[in-house]
This record gives sequence, C-alpha cells and structure tokens, in this order.
Amino acid sequence: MKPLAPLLLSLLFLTSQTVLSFKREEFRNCHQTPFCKRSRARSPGACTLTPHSISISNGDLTATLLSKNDDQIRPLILSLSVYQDGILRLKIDEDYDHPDPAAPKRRFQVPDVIVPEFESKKLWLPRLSTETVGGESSPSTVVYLSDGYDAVLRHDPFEIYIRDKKSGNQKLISLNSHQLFDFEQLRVKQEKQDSDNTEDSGSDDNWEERFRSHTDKRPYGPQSISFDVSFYNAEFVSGIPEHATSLALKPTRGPGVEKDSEPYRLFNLDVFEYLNESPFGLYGSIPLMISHGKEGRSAGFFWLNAAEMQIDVLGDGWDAESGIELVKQKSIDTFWMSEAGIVDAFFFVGPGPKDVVKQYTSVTGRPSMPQLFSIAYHQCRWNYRDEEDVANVDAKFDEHDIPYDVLWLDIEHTDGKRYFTWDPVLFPNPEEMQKKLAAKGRHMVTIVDPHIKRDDSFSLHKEATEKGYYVKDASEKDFDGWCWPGSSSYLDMVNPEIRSWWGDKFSYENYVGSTPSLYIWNDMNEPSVFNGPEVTMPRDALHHGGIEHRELHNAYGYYFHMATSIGLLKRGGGNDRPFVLSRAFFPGSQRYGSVWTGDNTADWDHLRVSVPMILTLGLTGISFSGADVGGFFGNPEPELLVRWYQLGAFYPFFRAHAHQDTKRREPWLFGEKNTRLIREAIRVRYMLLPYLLHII
Amino acid sequence: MEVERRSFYFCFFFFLFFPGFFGVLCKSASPVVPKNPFLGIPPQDDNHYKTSSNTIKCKDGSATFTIVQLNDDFCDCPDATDEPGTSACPGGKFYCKNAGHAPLFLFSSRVNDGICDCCDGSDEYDGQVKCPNTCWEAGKVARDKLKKKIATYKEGVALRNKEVDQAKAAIAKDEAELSKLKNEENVLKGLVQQLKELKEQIEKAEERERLQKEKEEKERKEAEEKTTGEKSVIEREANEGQIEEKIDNEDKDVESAHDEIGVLDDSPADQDVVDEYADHGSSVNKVEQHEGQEDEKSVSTKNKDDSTHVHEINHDAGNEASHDQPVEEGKDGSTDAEGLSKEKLGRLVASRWTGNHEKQTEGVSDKKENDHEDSEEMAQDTHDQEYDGYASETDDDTGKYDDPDVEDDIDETYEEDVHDDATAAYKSDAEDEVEFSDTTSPGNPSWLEKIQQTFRSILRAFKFFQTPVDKSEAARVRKEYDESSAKLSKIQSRISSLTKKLKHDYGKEMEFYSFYNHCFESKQNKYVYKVCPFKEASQVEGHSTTRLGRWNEFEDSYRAMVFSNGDKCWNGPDRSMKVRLRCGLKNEVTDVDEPSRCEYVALLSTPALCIEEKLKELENKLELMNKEQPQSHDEL
Repeated sequence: MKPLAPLLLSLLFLTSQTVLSFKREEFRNCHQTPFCKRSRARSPGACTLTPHSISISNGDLTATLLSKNDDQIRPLILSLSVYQDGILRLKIDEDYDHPDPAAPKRRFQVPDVIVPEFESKKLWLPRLSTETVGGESSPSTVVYLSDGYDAVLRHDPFEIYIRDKKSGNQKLISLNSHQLFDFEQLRVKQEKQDSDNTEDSGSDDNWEERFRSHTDKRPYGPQSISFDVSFYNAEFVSGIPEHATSLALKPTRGPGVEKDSEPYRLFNLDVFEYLNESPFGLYGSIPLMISHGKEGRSAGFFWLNAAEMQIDVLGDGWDAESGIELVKQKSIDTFWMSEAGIVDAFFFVGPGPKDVVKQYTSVTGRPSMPQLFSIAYHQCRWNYRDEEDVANVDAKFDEHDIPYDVLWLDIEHTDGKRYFTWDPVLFPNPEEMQKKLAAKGRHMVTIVDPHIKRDDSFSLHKEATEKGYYVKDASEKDFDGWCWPGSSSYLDMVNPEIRSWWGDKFSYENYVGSTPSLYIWNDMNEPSVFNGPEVTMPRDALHHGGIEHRELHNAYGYYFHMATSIGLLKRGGGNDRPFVLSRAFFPGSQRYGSVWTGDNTADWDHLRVSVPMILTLGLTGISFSGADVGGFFGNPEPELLVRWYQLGAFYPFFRAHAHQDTKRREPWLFGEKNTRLIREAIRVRYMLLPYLLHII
Repeated sequence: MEVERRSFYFCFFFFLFFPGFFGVLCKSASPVVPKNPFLGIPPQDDNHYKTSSNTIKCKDGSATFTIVQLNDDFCDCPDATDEPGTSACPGGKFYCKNAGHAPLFLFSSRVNDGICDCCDGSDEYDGQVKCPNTCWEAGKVARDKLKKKIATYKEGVALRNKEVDQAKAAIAKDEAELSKLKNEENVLKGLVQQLKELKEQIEKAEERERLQKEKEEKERKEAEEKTTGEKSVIEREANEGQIEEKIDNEDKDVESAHDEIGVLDDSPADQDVVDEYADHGSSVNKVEQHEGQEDEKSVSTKNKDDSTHVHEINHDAGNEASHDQPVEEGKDGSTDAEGLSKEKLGRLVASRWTGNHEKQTEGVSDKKENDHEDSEEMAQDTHDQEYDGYASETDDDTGKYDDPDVEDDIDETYEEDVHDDATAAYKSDAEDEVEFSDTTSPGNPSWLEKIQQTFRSILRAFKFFQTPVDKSEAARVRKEYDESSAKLSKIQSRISSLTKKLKHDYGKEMEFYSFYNHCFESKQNKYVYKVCPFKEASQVEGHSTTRLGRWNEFEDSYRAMVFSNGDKCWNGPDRSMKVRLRCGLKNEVTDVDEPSRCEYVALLSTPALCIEEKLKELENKLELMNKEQPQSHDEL
C-alpha cells in the first residue's frame, strides 16, 4: 500500500499542472480543421476560373466566373463596386439562378455590419475599358476607382488588383495573383453517402466532421473559400485581431518558418489562460489587414465574413518551390481561408494608415462617443462580494485619495447566475447601493451574459422558450449547453426581433434593482459553451432563418453586444450614451461600446503583449479597448501591478480586474510607496480625461 | 530601416490607442478663493502662517511665498504649504475645525468637489453646493458613542486586571507544579532505574536457576538413562517445549503493549499516533489488565486484526477515490474529455475558472495529511479520554474510517464538548488536568513517598542471589517496576505539556494566558468558525472541517492573532486567518470574513484588549469634545 502515496501525490501534482495552463489539444489546429488543411495543401496556379460576360449592371461591374475545366457545380457571380474615398468592394457568390443543380440554400452574408449610409457613397460606374497590360497575353478590364487609382480585373489568369497611376501603374494590392482562389460550392448530400468517412481524409466527399467527442453533421458539405491577397511595396502587415502577438504580423509559412506553424486563426473562443506569442484565435475577430511600407504608404483589405477564418502570412520565397515567378514587384503575400459564407471583400487604398482606418470605419462605422466616466478608472474584481464589500472598497478609494469612477460586479452578484437578478443575501438593496455611489458621481457596472439558465421558474428563460428565441441544435430543439448557471440556452441575437425584446429587458421596470447609474458588461459572448466543441457552440447549431452557426459564429458576440447597447440606449430614452463592455467582437463592435482583451495573466509577458493587442484593436477600428490591469489570473508582484497601472493609465479602457482565486489587490494594499505610485498613475489618467474624451 | 520602423511605431502608438481627432477643450474658469485667507490651516500651524514678515516658507524649505499667494488657488509649494484651503496642490491637507464635533483633515482634492465632507461645511465654498453645519448633531452622536466606549473600557479594564492577576497566579502555579514534577521525575527516574536493575538481577537469577534446573534435570535424565536404559525421544522433546513456553509466558505481559503497537504499525499514517499514545499513561492500564487475562488478550488481538484489515480497506478506498479522480483529471485536458457526458464536460471546463472540482480532489489528500498531523498534535496534548474514543472508533466504526477524514471523528468528539457547553467559548482539554490531579493534588501528596516505601520494603524483603528465587517477591518487583515506569511516563508527559504551555507568548502582562486551551466560536450561515488561540483556527461545515490556519503569532503589538499554513486552496494560497482583537467585555468572535480567496479575517472582542492607557486616551478625547461643546452651542 505504501508506495501508492507518492504516486497519488505526483498524480495530484500533474493534475494541478495541467489544469493551470492553456489546453492546446482542446482546440483544433489547421491540420485538424478539414477546410484549412485542404486549402493549405493547394499550390499556386491551381485556380482555373476566368471571368465571362463582363458588363455593367446597377453601376457595378459584374461577371460570371467559369472554370476552364468542367469541374464546376454551377457558375459563380462576381461583382465589383466602387465607393467614395478609394474603396473597392468585391463580391463573389454562387449563381442562385442556376437551375440544375440548384443551390440548396443561400450562403450567409453578414447583415447589420455595414452602416446604412455606406451605400449612399457608392459611385456608379459609367463604363469599362478593356486593355492589354504591357507584356501580358490576356486582356484586362479596367474601371476607375478614385483619383490616381484604377481597379483592374485581369481575365486569364483571373486576378483583381488596384494600381497606383502616380507610381507608374504599380500594383498596390491584389487578389488571386497566385491563383490560389477556391470556392467550394453547396451540394446536396447523396443518399449513398457513407457517413463513416473519417475526418480529414482530404476528400471533398466527407460530410460529417468529428473533433474529440463532438460530431459536426455538416449537412451542406464542405463550403469553404480561400484566396491569396498581396500587398505591394509593403514592409509589414498588421491587423486581424485578436491574437496575443506582435503588431507586425510574423510569417506563418515560408522559408525559415517551422513546418507545423499555424496560420492566424479568427474564431471567437473563450480560451482559458491564453498564450503569449501565439497565432491562436482569441475572443474576437476582425478580418481587416493593413499593410505599411516605405514613405508611410498603407493599404487595407477587409473580408466581411463571420465563419471561421485562417490567415497565413507568407514569408518571402514561400512560392519558390512552385517555380512560378509571377510578380516582380516586391510584396507581402497572404492567404485567406474561411469555412463558409461568401466573398464580400473591401480594398482600401490609403494612402496613409489613418486613411485606411477612415476608409474601413466608413464601411463598418465610427466608434461611438463614450461617456466621460467610462474613460476614467474602473475597479473590478470577481467578485465584490456584497454590499458591505462594495461600500468598503468605495470608502477606501476616498481614504487613500485615489480617484475612480466605476465599481463592477461580476457573476456572483446574481441570484444563481440568473442575469438581471440580485443575490438576495449579498445584495438585498441594490438600488440603495448604486445611489450611494451615484451620490459621489460614481457608477456601477453589472455583468449580463448571453447564456440563460434553463430554469422554468426564471421568467426570462420561460419567455425565451415560449417565444422560441433560443438558438437551436442540429435537431432543431433548443440548444442546451453548459455555462456558469449549469444547463443553459443561448439567445439568438441575429434575429432583430429578439434583439429588440432583449433591449427591453434593460428598462428600469424589467431590470429590477437597476438605476440610471448602472451600466452593463457582456462576457462569455463568443459564445462560451463549456461542454461544446472548442468550448463554444457546435457549428451545426441553427439560427434564425436556417443560418448555421458555422456561418455566423464570429458575429454572435457582436449581435449580443449590439442588442445590449441598444437596450441601454432605449432605457435612457436616447439621451444617455450607453456603456457596454464586451469580450467578443467583430467589425462594427466599435459602434456599441468597448472591448477588453479577456482573461490575461499576471505576468510581464502579458503586460507587454497587451500593447500590440490594443494597438491592433485601435488600428482595426476598435479604439475603446483595454487589458485587465494587474492580469486576471494569478497574483502580480507589486512592481508588476504598479507598472501595469502606469501602462494601463494610457489604455483607452482602463480597468483593473482579478480572478476570484487571487489575493486582493486594490491599489492601497501594497505599502505606502506603491499606493502612491498607483495613485499618481491614476491621477495622470484623470488629468488627461478631457483630452482623451475627444480622441477616443 | 530601423529608425523608420521605430518612428512608425512611435507615431502609431498614440494614434492607434486613440485614433480620433486631436483637440483639447479648455475649461476657462476663474479661480475661486476662500473668503478667509487662512482657511484650512490647523491651529498648531497658525504661527507658521501668521508671521510679521511678508514671506512664508514652504514647510519643506524648498521655496517661499508671499501672503498674497496663500490660498490663491495656485500651487507654489511642492509640499502644498501655500494652498491649505484650496484644491490647487495635489497631496495637500485641508483642516476643518468642526466645532462641536471632532476636527478633521481632508485631502485637498475634496475641497469644492461638490460633496460635503466637513460637518461644518467649510470644504465647500464655491457655491456649487450648500453644506449645512451638522456638527452639533453629529458631534452628539459621536460623543454618545465615545461615552459608551469609555464605559465598556472601564468595565473591561477591571476584567482585564482580574484576568492578569489570575494569569500570574496560574503561571506561578504551573511553574511550581513543573518544578515539583521535575523533582519527582528525578527521584522516580532513579527509582525506576534501580527497580529495573533489580528486575534484571531477578531475571538473571531466574535464568541461572533455570539453567541449573535444566542441568540437574539433564544429569538426572542421563543418570536415569544410564540406569533404566532408554526413554522415548519424543517425550524428551515435549518436555523441552514446555519449558520454553513457560519462559515465553513470563515475558508476555511486558511485551503485550509492544505487540499492540507492532500490529497497528501496519498503518503508516497512524503509526506516530499510536506510538505517542503508547507513551502515555493509558496503555499502561491496559497492560495491567492484560496481565493473566488471556481471554481479553485474544479479543484485543482480534481487534488488531480488524484494524489492520480496516487499514487495508481504507487504502483501497482512498486509492480508488483519490486515484480515480486525478487520473480523470490528468487526462482531462487531452483525450479523456471525450468520454465525459455533456454535463460532466461542462462542469469540468467551468471548474477551470472556479476550481470547484479540483478543490474536492485536493481536499482528499489534504485531509489525509491533516489526519496525520492533527493526531500528532492530539497526542501531544495527552487526551487520554480521546485516545480511548479514538481506539474504539477505530475498532467499531470501520465505515467511518473509510471516509477520507478520520479527523472528523476526532473533531466530532471535540465538538460534542462544545455543544454540551452551549457557549461560544470553551475549554478545549480540561480532562488532562483533572485526571492528573488524581495523583498530584495536594490532598494526596504522599504517592511518591508510598512508592519509595514500597521500594524500600522490597529491598528489605528481597534477598539477593538467593536461589531459588522467591516467586512472589519477583512478581512484586515486576509489578512495582511497571507501576513506577508508568507513573514516570505520565509525569514526563505532564512536564512536556506544561513546558509547552509555558513556552508561549502570552502578551506583555500575560493577559492572554487564559486563552490557552480555549476556543471561541462564531456561527455564520452554514459555517461554524472556531478560533483556538495558540493552536489553530478552523471552519466547520456539517461533518467537514477545514483548517484555516495553525497558530503563528501575535501581530501588530498584540492587537491581532495570526493563524497561517492552513489547508491548501486550489489555485490559491494556503488558507490563513487573521483575528483582530478589540476591547470587549466577553471573549467573542464576530465578523468572520474572507476578503480574498482563502484569506480569512475575524474580530475577537476580549477584555484582554481593554488597556488602561487607551481608556485614558478616550477620556481625554471626550473631555476635549466636551470642552468645545458650549462654544459650538454658542455658534448655533
């Protein structure tokens, strides 16, 4: 018996080790993701499509893309549109008019992201011109884009690019220059289809996908899209958040890059203890890439698509083996892969980085104007336990002469993780508590997550069930997943009716215990599903209108954020600017509030990486963002905490937050000197507030 | 290239963090200065400001300023000397007189911030808000409170003095007892030594006798053989066997105690416990009982078997319970989650953030460890009674033993004491002293003499080197030896516990001496918190006990007790508890709280903290407040 004791101990030790770290094996890598594996295996020159019947219709250039080989299910329809300020939009989708075989459904095109006023900026193309660009055998169709820029559609091989007339018609940015374009078309499952086909056989014939214990029925078969995009004369590319990595994106393929290196993944996930320096996808996704080169020249590429995306940055010489020397102009090549959706891509000509951001936000919207209090200092912790705790923390700030504006309550404030409720023992008088804070001009934020406790006595759940407002599983029953409250269902926020219903829940009558000084925090909206594949919702779950979750996954959190923000706007009768913090994000999230970089760790690496992460967010339109000051997991040493305050004072969103297992770390707990340093850092922030309000 | 890159990022840094449009709104407001140029200056600083010269020094000597610059809402002194009455200098202090109540220093950032901080309203003078003077009412409340506090202190000081006296007497008594015991130990040690020698001599004599007999027997047999021819070999062997058996029997009573230990030794976790217990008096009683009682012996042997068996079961069960889980957990991250049901998987992933699941697994191992240590401690405390209880539970209650925490059983007995008392404070181990008083109480002082007399009579009666050995004399020596050595070990254990007790730090005036062996309890929701000074602090929920910390020390000049190194917390520190002490008339634990995960705080009211100097301080304060009363009354 005796020898067992050390064995047990070592087992426990191992357990606690594994529990405390990122679980790589729970998430799919590119090799385990069939569409990514297939796409990455393609070699340059594989695309056989060429445009036909090029014409102008409704002010757009339209064409039909047909394969030179006879391997196409139905034609693809291409359209090019031009907008003010040098924006080119490219759409490629299936031909839904094609009779046989007809597309079994419409592919998902993300609504509610492009601002309505954008359409009014469209320039109607008057004419096309056809020319043969010097030295080429095939003709190209050229349209005017903006002063000094043309958009060019080369016919064979098929390529789209923007050329800069001022620099002697050099290319600025292009798509499919390496002929990697691929578009897997929707099919109807054949009767004889063998469902035993195992995953990643590389064949297009397998329908079901398995990952760990989860099976994805994939009823429409593979439907991925991939293509290459090149940025010319660029030294760096940045953007495509959210990754815990450098601002300038390092190559993920090519000479000198490890063989098994992963592409940058865009798939909103709740990652436990994420890694520093990793291309792994975190809580939000913005498929916008910005290049930057000599003389401050920038260009941008944005793909509006909410499915899982994988993006390779190809290192110099990546295509050397193929022997094809297509381009003499220096460029950074990138390779974009998405599991579903359509091509709805935007090219931004710049010329400066600021112009690219302006062009991008003219499509997806400018950041909303925050309230002054929301750019001040926020004090958060999982959890301020009860009203007494709240009162004490509040009093201590005054006692130590440290300014702060907002006190936050995490999930434990609720009655059994039923959002919009209060724990009757810990928070018996929420209104009074908020009023006490408000008397000093302070605000409170409570958490409201998208998972609803499946409890029939919970009116919100009852109502959502009756109205059929939940996301459905593949068998069209209400999807039942596990999150904080235990068994939970998830509201289907892509439906505008449900968003409106949700918004009403924030009225003072509906949210009992709320006061005008209360604002909202949306967490877990990737969505996080503890027992789902990769800790999220199964891809074959069904949304409003038969949309598969795989098609809108990355936008789920965005719709939730939007619904909450609209709710607060309604609550204030349109006279109170909402403040909603969200963890998940998507293009357009800047219109609805701020985001933060999720569950970081109290170490120096995470302090460092917060800078490029927040810079990248700012670069991709989300100017109001921050990282948890002090680091969410773990206990920061006092110097790290002080340094984090000194850095955090310059984050657009400045909030300290901590995991419930960590030691208390309010600013006054680390000795007189550290208290003074933190106080000074926060005061610098307060001195800058009037200025910051006008630049965020 | 590098330069370019850097400037690129530098330009970007601010732009990207805040990519909006530059533009600063300047609030153009004329400074608001107080009507009274000397506003915000405390009386003790009056002389510094009201000088005849035109210039005033910054207190840190770094600069000077003129009277015009005083409170002009512009900061001239780095140390804020020139702006006591405005918010112009960061880090300045504003003094409000608060006549009728206590004066107050405010951070200068509170001046004209729209919130009334001083009860006399003097901190808000820019017209933003109107602050009524509430000092009279607030002062009255404060004075009443102070009066109550003083009353408590007065009573408390008396209680404390009494306690200090008692403590001093008790310490003197304990020290006297200790030195007496040490003397007795010395005497008894010598006695035991002599008895031992005697016993050995007897044994030698007996051995000689035996050999002699054997020899004689042999010679007789040989003679017989010679005369009668032959006898069967079998018979002879049988005879020899009998003799050996006889010898064995003689040794058995001494060894029996050892036997018991030997068997229990099989359980590694409890080994120390049993050893410890065996050292103490009670096992001796058993030995005595066992003498000549073969029946009981066999029963106890059976028990031993049982308990060994139990241990095995225990190991198996423990194995399965705490083995299974880690394996599951160990794999959890990788392949194993696949085998889990949806709900289990959900719980598992959730537990990464909350640690609930993990806590359980670790709990098991912790508890095991605790058992061990706790038992050791118990042993040191010489809980004879509890030993019995423990033993019987080991024998009967195998099911409970299976439960990963044996400790619970012990604690239950422990708890019963508490509930019997039905008070929040109780003595943790009175039996110890009570029982010992049987032998040591002044009314029965002559036990040592008795032993010595008996010894002398033995010496007298016993004739050395006499053969054959007088059987009854030999038995008497053995009995005396056993009794004396049992007494010796009892005395020694008492000495060790007294030494341990006297070793602790009981405060400047030994005011905490009465806390020794006492526990204080507080029930909060489903938990009962137990604070046992000089020992440990724990949290009890139903049958499970979590140790919040072991006694560490007093902190903050005897105003706090620190218990550290409690049970391990998942993803957190070892549990710890800090008990703040304050003056009160009863020893009472209140306000147990866990401000950080697994770091507990509590408040203990006790007369021990009702210090006379503090009482004087409070009285002075009240006097001061009362002095200002008529003045403030006039103002009103």
